[in-house]
Amino acid sequence: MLVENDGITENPNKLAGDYLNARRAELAQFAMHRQYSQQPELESGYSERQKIHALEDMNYHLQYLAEAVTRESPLLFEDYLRWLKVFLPRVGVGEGDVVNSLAAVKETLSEMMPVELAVLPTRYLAEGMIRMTTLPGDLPTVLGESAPMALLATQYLNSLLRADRRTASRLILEDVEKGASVRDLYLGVFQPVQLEIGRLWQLGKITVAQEHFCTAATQMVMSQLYPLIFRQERNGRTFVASCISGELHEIGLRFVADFFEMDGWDTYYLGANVPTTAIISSLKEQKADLLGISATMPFHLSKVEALIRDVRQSEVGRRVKIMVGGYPFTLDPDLWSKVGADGSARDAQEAVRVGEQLLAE
Amino acid sequence: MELQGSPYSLISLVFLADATGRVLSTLNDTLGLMTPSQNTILQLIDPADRIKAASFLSAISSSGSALCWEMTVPGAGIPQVLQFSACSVSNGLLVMAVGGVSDLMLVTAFAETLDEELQASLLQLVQAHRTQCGTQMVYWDALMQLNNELLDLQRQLAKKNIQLERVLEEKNRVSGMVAHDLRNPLAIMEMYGEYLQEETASSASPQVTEFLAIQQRSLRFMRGMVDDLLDFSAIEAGYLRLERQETDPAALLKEVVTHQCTLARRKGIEIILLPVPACPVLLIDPDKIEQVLNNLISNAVKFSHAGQVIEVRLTVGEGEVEVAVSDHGLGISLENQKKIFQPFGGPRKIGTAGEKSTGLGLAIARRIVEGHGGHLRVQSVLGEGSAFTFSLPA
Repeated sequence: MLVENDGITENPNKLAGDYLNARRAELAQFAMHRQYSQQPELESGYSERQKIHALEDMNYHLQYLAEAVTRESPLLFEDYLRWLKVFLPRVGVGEGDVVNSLAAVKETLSEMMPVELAVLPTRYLAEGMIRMTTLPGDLPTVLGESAPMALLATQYLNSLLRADRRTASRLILEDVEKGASVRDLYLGVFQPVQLEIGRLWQLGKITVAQEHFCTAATQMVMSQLYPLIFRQERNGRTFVASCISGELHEIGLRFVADFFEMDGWDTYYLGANVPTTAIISSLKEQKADLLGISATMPFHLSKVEALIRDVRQSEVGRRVKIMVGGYPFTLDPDLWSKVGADGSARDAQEAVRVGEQLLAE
Repeated sequence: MELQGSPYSLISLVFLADATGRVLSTLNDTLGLMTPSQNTILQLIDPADRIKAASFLSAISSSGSALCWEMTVPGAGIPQVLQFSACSVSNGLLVMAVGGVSDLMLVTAFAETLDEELQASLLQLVQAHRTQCGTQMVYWDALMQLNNELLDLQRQLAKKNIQLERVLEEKNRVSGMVAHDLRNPLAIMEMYGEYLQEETASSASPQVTEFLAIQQRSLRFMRGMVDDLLDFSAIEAGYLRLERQETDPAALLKEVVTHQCTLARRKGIEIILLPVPACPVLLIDPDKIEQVLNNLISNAVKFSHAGQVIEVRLTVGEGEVEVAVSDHGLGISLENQKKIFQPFGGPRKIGTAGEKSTGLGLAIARRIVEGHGGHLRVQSVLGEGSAFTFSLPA
């Protein structure tokens, strides 16, 4: 559904998202008043500081709702609610209060937003309030005992959490000596350990310093396996990988680039903070067949979309296939098409398969 | 599955202490870090960080507060790095410790339960702590970015290294192939050349005889060069195959010296084999070691003048046998000594009688010796002569 406005065709979802972003502070205030009028005991019981936090939470509801609406992705909003459900009890906010605050936002939008724009956000909120009761109240670990390399992965993680990168590295290299494949180590150790580190950070169980250290140490251990990765026979295809500028979470894309390399592709890892013009130059220079873009934060999706648009407008961009990946794309399996990409994958192994398919088309 | 070594619960520790760090009362302790025996801040902190803890107290007394000091607390058997902040209050010091910024919410929530004055102080402390951590975050992120960039460079370097290895392998394969294909036609030309020399020995003019001799010398040199190139390509490609067998190095040396003496005598040079001591039998490839000896002695002959003497010495050391070939010829400059073992590395020197070199002999010799687990080295003074010594493990 597209809306004609003075000859310019605009996506109504984007209009709704823009509206929510532009009037976020005002809408949050209104929603807060509404909740207090419905729950006067809350207003009288909250200290001034708690009131400030409650208003901040209203703002966050609207910010994540705006992103989900713009992308027409209820799953993005659901992920935010999942996080709320895990996090808020730790600071003394009950699930009932969260549902009430969502209801207050929904009623405020129904009242204040133009009807044609309010449809999607109010629907997401209504669905979210129902989903809230069934969402899990914890973030389960992916390092379950049934995982294929769970023991090694747990030993590796424990070494990293003790800041003992040498033992971590030794564990991996010993396994390689015993014949473990690099692919298995990536999928069975590095990937789940990174997810677990992210989970522990989300739960406030490790500090930023620990998170940074563990990631950096894993990247260093991965680099010790480069001689094995880069020795594969070439298949004549080229993959260029880049993160969205401002991203520090590059490790996922490194996994993907290395998997393409192990499959015989020639890969060029450009990292983050690379200007669009440099990405386009690199695509041209390397005669790339496929561009991979990764984003970790949902609020970086608009940057992904803009980058894809700019690449497509370039001469080289017309023949290059574009894949996207990263956390938001794993939440919503349709999100890739909404940002204008040709495909997406949930992990490095799938990325190679999808990449091959895209080029075969 | 049990994970270890990390703070796995949200941590909020708030207490009052006097100016010396003696704990007056524990206000909040979510993890039970404070035990009755811990009467001072110093006792709470891991011994390794106690100097830091003492500095923390001095910082508060001198400036009224200290923010975001990371110190280790032994905890319940699992050491944890906590961030400490403290400020002066009317009844002493208000000290707060958290596992990370996210724990500040717990402290904030706890602050609501305190009396007005302490609440205000604690909230102020939380705010200052958060700001200080924000500054630290900038550095964390910058460090992470730096690390990412270093890894990018490392990845590029690893990729380039492998590419270079591939190019080198290809180069060796091609030069080996070319050398192999050149060898056969050269052998045929040399054979017919010899035939022509014999057939025309009595009938050809002196000029034709000389031309034929020059042609044969050039062909022999080219064949030597192609042989070296083949050897070198094979070694570089990892095909140095040593057919080791029990060999008496003294006998081998005598044989080579005898053969080389004949050639040296044509130039008026004498080769002296110094008395050979009792020598152990070595497990070596005799053909390859003969190649090394021939190379070193023929080089010595090449760069010596008529009338000079070359000494060859075999010595038996602890766990090794050494052979040294010393001449008193042209010698090698210090700068060139660094290059002579590289293929085509040294300047293309001409022997004292105009002999040419392929530029590969010493590179091959060194690789053969090293393949046996030994070393080949040179000592030389320009204008005074050279001594090449190689060792072989006994």
